[in-house]
Amino acid sequence: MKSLSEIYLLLEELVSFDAKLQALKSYFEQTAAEDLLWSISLLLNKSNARIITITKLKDWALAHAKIPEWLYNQCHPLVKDQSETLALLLPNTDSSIGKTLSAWMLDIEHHKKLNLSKQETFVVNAWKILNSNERILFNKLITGNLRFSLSQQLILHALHLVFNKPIHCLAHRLITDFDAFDKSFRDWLNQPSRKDIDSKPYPFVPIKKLSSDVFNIGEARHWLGIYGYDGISVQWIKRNEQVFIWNDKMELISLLFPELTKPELCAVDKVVLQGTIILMKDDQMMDQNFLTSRVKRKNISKKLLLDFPAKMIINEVLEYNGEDISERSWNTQRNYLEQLYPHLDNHVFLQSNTILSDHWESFTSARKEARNVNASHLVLKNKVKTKDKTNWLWALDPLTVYATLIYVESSIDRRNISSLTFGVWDNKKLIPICKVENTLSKNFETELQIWLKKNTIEKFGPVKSVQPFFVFEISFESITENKRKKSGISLKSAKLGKYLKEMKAENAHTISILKEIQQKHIK
Amino acid sequence: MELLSNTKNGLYCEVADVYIDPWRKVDKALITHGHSDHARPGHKHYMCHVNCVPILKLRIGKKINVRGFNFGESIHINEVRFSFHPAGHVIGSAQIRVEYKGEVWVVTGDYKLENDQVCTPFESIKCHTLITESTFGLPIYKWATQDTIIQQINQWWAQNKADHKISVIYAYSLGKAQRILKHLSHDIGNIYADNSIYNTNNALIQHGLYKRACQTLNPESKDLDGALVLSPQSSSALNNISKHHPMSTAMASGWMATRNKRRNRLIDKGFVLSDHADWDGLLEAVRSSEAERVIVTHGYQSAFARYLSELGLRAETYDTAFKGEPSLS
Ligand SMILES: [Zn+2]
Ligand SMILES: [Zn+2]
Repeated sequence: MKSLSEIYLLLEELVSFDAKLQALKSYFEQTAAEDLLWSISLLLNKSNARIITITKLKDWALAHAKIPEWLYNQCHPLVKDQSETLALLLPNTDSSIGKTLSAWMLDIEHHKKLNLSKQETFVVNAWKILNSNERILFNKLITGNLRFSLSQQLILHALHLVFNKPIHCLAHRLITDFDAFDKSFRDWLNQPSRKDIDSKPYPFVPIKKLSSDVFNIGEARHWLGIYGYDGISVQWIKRNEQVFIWNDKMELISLLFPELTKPELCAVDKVVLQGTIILMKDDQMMDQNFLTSRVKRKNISKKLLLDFPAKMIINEVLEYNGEDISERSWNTQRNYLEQLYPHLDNHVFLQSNTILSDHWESFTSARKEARNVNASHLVLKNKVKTKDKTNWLWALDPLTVYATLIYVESSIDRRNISSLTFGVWDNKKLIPICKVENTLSKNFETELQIWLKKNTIEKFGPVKSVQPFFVFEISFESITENKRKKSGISLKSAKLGKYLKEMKAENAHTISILKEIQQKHIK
Repeated sequence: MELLSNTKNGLYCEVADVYIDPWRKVDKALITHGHSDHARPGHKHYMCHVNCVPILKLRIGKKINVRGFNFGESIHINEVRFSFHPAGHVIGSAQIRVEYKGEVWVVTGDYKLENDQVCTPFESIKCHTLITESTFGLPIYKWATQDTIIQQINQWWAQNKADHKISVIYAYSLGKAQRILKHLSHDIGNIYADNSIYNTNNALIQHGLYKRACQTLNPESKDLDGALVLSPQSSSALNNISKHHPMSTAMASGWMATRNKRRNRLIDKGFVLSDHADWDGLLEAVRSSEAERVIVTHGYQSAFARYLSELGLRAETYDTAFKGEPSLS
């Protein structure tokens, strides 16, 4: 319980993937073998150790700590977490008992079925031997409120570093149900499984953003263009009548897309496809927000599956009939794909549009058309596979709007401006459309700060609302619907463009212009 | 007329015509300690503990009219006897005992019970009426020992050093800065301090009130790799350094006791280290003073006063006299 409570609190403090990875790695290294499977199960939120309600727990804690209810009510708003408030209110103990996590889990399981007074004795005695950090974890655990928010990728990588097992072998073990009560970690890890072979993906080809002119990467005839979409880049694998879906972070995401994991979707066995998963409604592609919120859901309802089914746009075939063709030329791959299409369910698998030409001009005009087919970029692949397998991501030219500055936010120490919020007119009122990072020149920033002294309307902490005066060009990649915003839209990757000195605020753009752009790009 | 009363200028003793930690300009001010919410500029006469004199001069001005007294030394003003007693809060901090015709009041100022080995430790003074602070007057605030926290800081610093990061600790320039600097392991790496901490330490060292020196942080500072920097807040010097060196930031404060506060601050780590008494410390101080009446100020006064009155004590706050009725929701 001690090390699990420590890693729980530590992971909350860490931000970067790398720092979390190092923390998890050393946690796994220090965890005793008998506790490992429990740790993994809890880190993945797979175990249910709930024995009582938080309300009951509160009664017991307040009685034990001799704290009146009114005093608890003073404390809770400051802590904002019931389990933690109770953990802090309980008397402190110095005794540290080296009871293993698996022993605790057995004890908790045992007390699930006992009567209330036996449960109370168990819980109160537990508090007496747990420090306040452990009590936070314990309280959450036994009230069913313990949740770790770790990506599968993170846990996989940490386990991989410590136990040296290939990631794909770990991944299918993680997403399959396992019972930590009757399995040892060693068995779980080392028991041979068909899936170790069947689920194995091909390496994902890295994709780099094209920052120079397209002519610099070579002659057009050596390249092919494929429209890219805002979706999840995946490998779809069917081997021995089982489907595995991997994303490019090497996470096994099959369970998130039940509509794509039916083996009958592909009549040929031993096939690996490379492509992008998107969500559709009728014939319309949904923007990425839908996909993000769907991935976060624990349960996917039937209605959701019917209304917004997932589909996969195929870019490449990497394996056909068990034969590895990932290294073959594009022409060969194309032939295999052509042979495969009749055997694929065409409600689910969509073909990608390919651009082939001896002239870059054709690519350039295809790129201009991209938004009309809902594509978010163009991917350039070398037709003849060379050693350097990098694909290029050719971003689209940004869209622009003339927006008026409405809020200015300062950095924590109030010395610099950290971000600027812009709005567009809607019936004589400015409504916010985006917050952009401050990329003003130092001189401009100083001028703006002087201007602020006389033109600030209101202050909300570090944020100042200002008189409508400055109009800037704001560039962005795309517009998506966002019902939680006053404007009803979000701008993707909004950036500060040039200052439009000549334009008066009242002549800047209105919301209808953005709505028009949005309509134009939805088929 | 009460011996001490709460006026718009601050805590006032009418018989002697002096104020304690007044917040408006007055003629005679007794000062518990050098923090700015207690020692304000503009009074004609300052009286404080001897160790507090250099601090007031540094913070308010060299030219102030100030007299220092030793612990326990009597100051008679119009038949009222005042004396300073250790509060254990920061260097130069004191409780103030006020006696008139056999009636004894004690004003704690800010205090903590744990001996931090930097300032004179808290001494309990028996009194009829105790005026206590209550900055951390809720039972969620319970401190671990100083040793435990210092160990945590050492570990964190050593880890940052191994990752080639600079460790930055935000801490008050008077109080926590001296505590951390004194107790931190000096074997891990170089220690630098922001100017305000450096100046405070220097003033204390010059007067023999503190021993541990450190280097000041400036743009030319070398050997920053793996170093630890003490600073009251983020500064332009730190901002500049962070452009070239990876940094991990921490805050040392009692407020770091809850996850919610640790998350809200833009820092990587929180250490629960305070110069104030925790919940158990406040209760202990009230008990050992044997006061019949407790007046709670400076913090969670209504909650703490209500709790005391439910224990059977006569407790009130200076905002609203507390009668022990459960009027608070
Ligand atoms: Zn203070
Ligand atoms: Zn104070």
